[in-house]
Amino acid sequence: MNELLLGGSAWWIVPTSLLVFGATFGLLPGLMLRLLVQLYPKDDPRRRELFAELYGPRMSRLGRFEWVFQQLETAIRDGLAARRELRRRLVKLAATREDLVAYIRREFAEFARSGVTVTCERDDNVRHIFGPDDLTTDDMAGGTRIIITGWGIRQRPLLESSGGMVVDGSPASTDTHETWPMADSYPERDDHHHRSPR
Amino acid sequence: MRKTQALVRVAVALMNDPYGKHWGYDLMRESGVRSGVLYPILRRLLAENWVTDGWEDPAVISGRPPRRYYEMTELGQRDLGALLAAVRHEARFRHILPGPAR
Repeated sequence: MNELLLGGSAWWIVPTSLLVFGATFGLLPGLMLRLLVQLYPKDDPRRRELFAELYGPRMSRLGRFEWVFQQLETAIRDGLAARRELRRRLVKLAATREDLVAYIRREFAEFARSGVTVTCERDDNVRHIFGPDDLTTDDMAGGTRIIITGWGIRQRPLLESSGGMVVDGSPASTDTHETWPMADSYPERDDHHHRSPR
Repeated sequence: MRKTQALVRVAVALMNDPYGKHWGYDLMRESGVRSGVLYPILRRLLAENWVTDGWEDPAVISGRPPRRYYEMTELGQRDLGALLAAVRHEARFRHILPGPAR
């Protein structure tokens, strides 16, 4: 190592590295920060936040240099932790979704067999979770199309009172799929395959 | 939430102005906590509902992107106040906390 640093042929490495380092963090802070915040999940507001702080009113030129350099640690610690948390939540969501799909299929098989179309009007959250083709003709016995776009499907009395055609009986919840209360609300399975969504 | 020096420093900075808006960069400077530690703490404070966040109104700023601010909730004021009261007598936090008024 000493030979590398002190050797005559490598004298330019240290100043060049310093120059590149200084240019990268000092002259191109925005570009550097844009690269660093890629460690955060795509929709994480911290991406915008860190970038906005860079151009905040109290940030000096020297402060920008320091700020960008510090975000290396921030992005690694906070950004990667946020990614891990997002992945954990998606796995949990997928498991819950699987449970709900199984529940719907079990509960509404009789409707499906009798040729009833069940449509639950709701916001885009459930459509997002299920996808447009989750419960279609191929999925259900009897070739019946069931469109699931809301929480009303777990409220069987409402479904029955509406004649099994259209249900909009979901609770007044506008929660996003991150915090939706569905897992606490739909009935426990009585088979041994039940997996707790929690 | 685990009581750490960094959390106490951030709590002191927040409690200095419990009703005001706090910016990430300013909090970092006031608390002396580097941003790699501060932002995970802010994430936890948000999750605990001790602070809420918002964005500057783009209409009142010009030439720069809107910044995110943090405001203490009533719950945060109560719990962080209790936290500071609880650690006041612990030797490892004594140098962080402001001394008694003279």
